[in-house]
Amino acid sequence: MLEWDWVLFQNLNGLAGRWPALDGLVRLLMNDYALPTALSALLVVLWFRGRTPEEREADHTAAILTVVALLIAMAVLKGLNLLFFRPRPFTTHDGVHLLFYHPSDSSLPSNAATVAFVFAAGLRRRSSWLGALSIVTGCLLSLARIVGGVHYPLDVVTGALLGAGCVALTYRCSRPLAPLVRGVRGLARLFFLA
Amino acid sequence: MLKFVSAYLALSYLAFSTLVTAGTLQVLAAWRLLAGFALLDYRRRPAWRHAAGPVTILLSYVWFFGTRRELITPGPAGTELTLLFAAGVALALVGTLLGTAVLRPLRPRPARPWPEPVQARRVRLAQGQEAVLVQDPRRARPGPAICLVADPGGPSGQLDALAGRLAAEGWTVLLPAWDEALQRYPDALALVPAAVAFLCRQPIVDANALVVGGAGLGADLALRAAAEDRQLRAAVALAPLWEPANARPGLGLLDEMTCPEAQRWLLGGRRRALLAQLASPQALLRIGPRPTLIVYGENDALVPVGSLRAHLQATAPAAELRFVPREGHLSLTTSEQAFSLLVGWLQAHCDHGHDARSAE
Repeated sequence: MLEWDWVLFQNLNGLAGRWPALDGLVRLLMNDYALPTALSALLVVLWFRGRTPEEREADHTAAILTVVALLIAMAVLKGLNLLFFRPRPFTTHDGVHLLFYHPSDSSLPSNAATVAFVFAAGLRRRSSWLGALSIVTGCLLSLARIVGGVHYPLDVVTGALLGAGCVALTYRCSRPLAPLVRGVRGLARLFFLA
Repeated sequence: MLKFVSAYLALSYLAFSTLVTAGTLQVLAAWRLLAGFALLDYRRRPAWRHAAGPVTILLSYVWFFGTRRELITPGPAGTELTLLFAAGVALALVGTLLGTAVLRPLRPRPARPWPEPVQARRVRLAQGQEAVLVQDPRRARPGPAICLVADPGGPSGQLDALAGRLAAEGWTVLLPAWDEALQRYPDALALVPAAVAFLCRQPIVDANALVVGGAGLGADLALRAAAEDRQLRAAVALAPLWEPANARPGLGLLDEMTCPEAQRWLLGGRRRALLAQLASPQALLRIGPRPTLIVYGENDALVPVGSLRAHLQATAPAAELRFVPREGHLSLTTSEQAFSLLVGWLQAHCDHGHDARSAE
């Protein structure tokens, strides 16, 4: 166990259980629905925001590659969970303030942080403001998961790196994915959506 | 194997993601003025423009997080949530596209485009085509006339307001109907000559002051007709399409119209074929030195207007290219700014020697 990881976790988790309003806010930010849905909606914005055919093509390519990176990240997460297990903080330590249900899968890497940073890294490729917004959202989600007692800081950092890494890998392999991008855009064009 | 854990929570999340996406689409519709997604007329309701989308998203969050107590209990996992969100996006897109298709035709339109005392009457051209003749009945002496060809896939009556404005300025305006029988090459080339022949027979038309104009595909036909007929003194083209590449199905069409309108606009593939055969860019070169005005909306989503100025300056320097701010491809035909530009240009280039208001 890394000492700094535990100390940082204790400091952040120590904020939970003091103020009901903060606990409510952390629950809102850390759950599986609020911020991941907002991040997914930003991908919809990326798809439709372009003005010229060239902008649209680049935005659509980025959106499709982000979805591919998300699928790769999910597969990697499943694989890592089979190979490696880190217990959650509340199962190995007493006195952890838990603001959420008891997740039973591995604490490391954080699934939520992985997904959030796939979106953040994917959106950042095409738009600085969409990227900045999604990075802030990803950081809030990750922080809330630590304050809420379900992850150590190292879990979310690993998740963020894994998410960003999956996007980088997808872009590196973008050439073989070109027929997929063309196919998806062609299908969307039939409904005037690309 | 997918495990949604709680069907109730999964369905609630599906509804939530649908509403959030629908709100996001309204934000985009207002921000980018996407007609195909705009459930409200954001041009006429500026107060709603930036409120409808955020309010929908906010209310969705309030409903979902204010009424679901199961949110901090185990629910659908990441893969299941991704699928539910994707289904929500699909539902929101279908709902929004259907909604705009139903609501847009219900929006109020001006009941009578003709200003007093202008009158319009249906006429029939030599080969049986229908047309509408618009003129000021008080006019006594021969004056200038214009044949305006509407886009056959555009909204009905798209050039009525412009025709009314020109007629009020003393022009005789003929709006020939470009019906399906003439929407193929070379049959389409018969439309403008038939209209010109009709205008020449009118007692209050000066056969030496005839102009041809059009909008969209009608503008491409007008340019081709002007190239063929030296009798036509000038040509005005509102947002010509130039190339088949500008008539491809795609998201650009939803900037300007709803899905069914876009389907109709494509004319079942005839539009692309006609554009290739009308060859309006080559026709433009043959019109000079007669004056030609080409007008685009700055926000035209169908024609790449950014590169057009340099291209036209290089190929057809005699043609005058003007842009109307804040207008798109279709909205150009109802733009007061475009009307003023057009009327001013026509009076400067084609109305010399005529007393436009001889009846007064």
